[in-house]
Amino acid sequence: MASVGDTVRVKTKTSAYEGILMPRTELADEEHIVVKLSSGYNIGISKSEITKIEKLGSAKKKEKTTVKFDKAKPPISLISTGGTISAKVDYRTGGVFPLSSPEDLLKTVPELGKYVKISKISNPFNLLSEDMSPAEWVKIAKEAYNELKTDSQGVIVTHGTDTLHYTSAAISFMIKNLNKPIAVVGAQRSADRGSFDGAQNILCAAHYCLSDIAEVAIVMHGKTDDDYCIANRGTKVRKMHSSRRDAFRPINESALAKVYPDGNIILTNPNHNARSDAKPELDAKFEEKIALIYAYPGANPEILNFYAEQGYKGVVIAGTGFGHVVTQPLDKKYGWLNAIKKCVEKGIFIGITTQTLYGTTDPFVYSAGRLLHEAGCTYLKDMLPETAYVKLGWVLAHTQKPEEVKNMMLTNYAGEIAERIGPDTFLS
Amino acid sequence: MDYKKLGLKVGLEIHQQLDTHKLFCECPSVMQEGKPDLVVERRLRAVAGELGVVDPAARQAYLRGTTYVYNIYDESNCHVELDEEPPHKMNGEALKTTLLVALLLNAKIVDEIHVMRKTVIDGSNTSGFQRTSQIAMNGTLEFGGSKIGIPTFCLEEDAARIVETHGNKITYNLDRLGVPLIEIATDPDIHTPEGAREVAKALGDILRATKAVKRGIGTIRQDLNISIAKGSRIELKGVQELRLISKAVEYEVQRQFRLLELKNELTKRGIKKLEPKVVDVTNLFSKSPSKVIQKAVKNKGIVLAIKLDGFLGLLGKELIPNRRLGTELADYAKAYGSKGLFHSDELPNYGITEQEISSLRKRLKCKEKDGFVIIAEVGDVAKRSMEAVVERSEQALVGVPGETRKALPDATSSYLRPLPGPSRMYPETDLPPVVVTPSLLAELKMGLPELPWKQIDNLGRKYKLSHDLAEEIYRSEYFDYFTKLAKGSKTEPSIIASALTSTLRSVEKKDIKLGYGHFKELFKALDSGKFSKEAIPEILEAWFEKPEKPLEKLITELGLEGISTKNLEKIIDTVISKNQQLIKERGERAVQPLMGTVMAEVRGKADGKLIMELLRKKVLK
Repeated sequence: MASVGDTVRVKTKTSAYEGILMPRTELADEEHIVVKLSSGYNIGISKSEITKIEKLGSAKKKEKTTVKFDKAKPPISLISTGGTISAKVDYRTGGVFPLSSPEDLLKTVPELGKYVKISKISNPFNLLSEDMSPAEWVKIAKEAYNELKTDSQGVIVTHGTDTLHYTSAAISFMIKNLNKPIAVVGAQRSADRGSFDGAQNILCAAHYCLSDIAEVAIVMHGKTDDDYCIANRGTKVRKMHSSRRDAFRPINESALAKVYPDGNIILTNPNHNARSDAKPELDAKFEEKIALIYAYPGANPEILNFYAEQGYKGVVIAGTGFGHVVTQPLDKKYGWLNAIKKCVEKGIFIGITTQTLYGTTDPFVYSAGRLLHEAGCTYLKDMLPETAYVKLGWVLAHTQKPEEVKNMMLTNYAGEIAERIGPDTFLS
Repeated sequence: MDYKKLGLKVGLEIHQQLDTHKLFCECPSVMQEGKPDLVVERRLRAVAGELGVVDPAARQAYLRGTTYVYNIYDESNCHVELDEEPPHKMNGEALKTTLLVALLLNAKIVDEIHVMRKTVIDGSNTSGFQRTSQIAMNGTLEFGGSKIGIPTFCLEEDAARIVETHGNKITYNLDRLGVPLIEIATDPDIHTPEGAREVAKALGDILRATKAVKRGIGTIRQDLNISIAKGSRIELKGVQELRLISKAVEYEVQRQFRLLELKNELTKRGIKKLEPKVVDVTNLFSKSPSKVIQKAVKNKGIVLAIKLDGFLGLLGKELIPNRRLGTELADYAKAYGSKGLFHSDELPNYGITEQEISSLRKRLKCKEKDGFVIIAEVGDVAKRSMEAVVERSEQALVGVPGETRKALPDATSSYLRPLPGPSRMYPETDLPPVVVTPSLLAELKMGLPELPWKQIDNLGRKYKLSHDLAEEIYRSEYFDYFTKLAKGSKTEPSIIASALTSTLRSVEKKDIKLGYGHFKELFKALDSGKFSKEAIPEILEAWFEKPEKPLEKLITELGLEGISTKNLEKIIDTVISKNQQLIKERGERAVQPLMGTVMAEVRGKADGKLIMELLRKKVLK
């Protein structure tokens, strides 16, 4: 019986093909097998046409080569959680496998060897970031905290890009008194290709880890060009494009720094903590019974009753404009005030952010805001909806007393609230 | 040259652009000039290959710090070309056209098409790979009694166009990136230079029969694989015109043959081994009057030399016009950055003196029959280039090295780079495979256009055209006019065809185009006898001066109204009476020369056949 990787001769009703048997991918149907011809091309052969499959030879073993990091270079830590960036590609099949050793990483990004040494890769789990839950954030924060206690100059966390900004916000809250840089980094292109953006991102993340910026930051391409990456504060960054390399943009503030592949760093935001001797503290807990919901015309306020019945402790609303939901509709059934008041009475926290992402919320400009504010909603300034959601889960794990929750939500722990928003920060 | 005896084998590889939008997105396949709308700079990484080892050439390019500059045009580019968006579903029209071509050539279509990523390291694809897929295999081209095997039919995306290279920056225009290409490769079943041209022509005809390919310069690329027995396979890239193909094959055969002669000569001279050592001879040339050497030395360069045992007279021997073994060595040197080299057979010259030559020969310990090569360049360029020259010289004793060569406009060629290794190809995992359903194939088989040469034969038979005329009108841009006119006019199709081809060609003016309306009117008037067919050239010529002039007016102005038979007879009678002597001497044979005289008189106002008839009748009377 021939298996994947074996050389085979496939006889069909009308032809014969020789090549290497390839695996089927998820996107393909069950009716064909795939053979790699000597030219390198893969073709699919209809199973119904096959009369015989002969095995001609067994799968070849791959050669191993070793390169090592220089022990004399400054040490940094690497935590791998999965995603496109930490994938190693099997060129025969196109399949991806997680990068598990520093040697593999060095092969992918050889320039790292010039600047840092990485002695091990922690791998708490392997998940595409779209599949992550808050439990993973707690694991990552713990792992990063442990690495901070070693002689590492900084920590890199490799991660999928879909929910990268949720994780960066979570770590920002869960590690207090951060004394060293933590870079969270992903890749928008696959690792098999020459244009792989992840390599430059990891290299710039390493430079960031050697810098004096003691903040959690997402380090990814700043432009579609390959000239530099930007380090974006972990609580004020969001994935703003489904595929571009420069998808991650700072929202309502300037990026912390421009980081060049050659190590040059240009500070672009004076508002950051510097590297210090402070002792970091791990505060990694999360209340999962919270929700993030989107306001829109026709939205049914009954959803809040559902959450209340389910015992939810808090809801963040991404409102329209300055942070509005429907309060004075023509048809009463669309109004949210009653449902909100009921939640507030039950002690459920209702936080307001804006779905415009840019700009700040304000309860005083329009009557809707005033009504919501009177009804007990907490306006969360210019916090991103995603960041507010992560923060709320963290806050509620500490206290569920409404006044205390409100106070903590409005306290600026990790730069999640911008005191001042400059005009050049919009769509930058 | 007895090509059969020489064991000539030629294979052809054609890349043809399709006239549809891009293969993996909806951008139009439109070329752009002028200022780009966006410029993006990128670097490509040297990725580890199948065996986990990094491609050394790619690693070199990356370490050299090559930056690729991409020029982007809003009309022709989207995020897909910029490697910022996954590919869209394969262009269905392009796939259909490829399937049609494969069916026309009796190929076996694969059951399921897999798009592959083929690693490309020169920056001409923004992602670092080309998307390519195999559509069919095992086709045959049958024509004129020969059978040429066509093992592969592929559908793939074209690469970006190079704009310029400046130091470490290479600029590309992304307009062409993603345009669909059909690739057809033949087996090396061609054994004559003429055969290569014919196969190229035939394949070109089949592609054009689909009516779905782009026309014009640069839309089709032809590469040849050529070898003779005892020689080596070389890949000749970019033979632009059909008419140069047979010459290019001839020259390559000649080049390989002469190289083999050189090898034999070296063996005759007793040279069994060649291991030229590179010697630094900078101090011998420190005061050289040669401008090239002065310049190099001024820039802190060095002069390197090698002795080539037994090469006297061989370096300067011509292989093909304007190319000697010395030129081949210079190509290799240039590939590694040197501006060129000097060799013993061309010196003294270029400012290098007899004295310098003799001290060099002394230093290198050259015997009488030995030659040498000098390179003067900046240190590492000189070293790398000389290493390449050493390698190529050693090959002279072996015979013909396998190479990729570039076709030049005069049908000769120059060295481009080493033959490519096996391509690294792996699946394009962003696209599901495409099943070729039996119903699609059946539908295509029903709508297959006829093979071009069969179409030409049928044309000739149907309209009673000579083969040459049938072929001419088939290829002409006025072919559609012809079929319409032939249907609606009483005039013989051969006359219409001639008018639209040779006649038109002889009088046409650049920038002016006559429309269908012109020709329709022309033949309608011809049908009603308003003038005779001999007047067609004059009318067309007049129209190229003033295309808007109505035909009626032209006929009057040119005085082309047909003359009556009565008047014609009067003219003939006059001519006959003036040439009584000639008629007495030659009898019937006087008709021919007198035809000329009558025609001159008549000036296209009467039908030549009629004139001949009447003239003959009267002469014979």
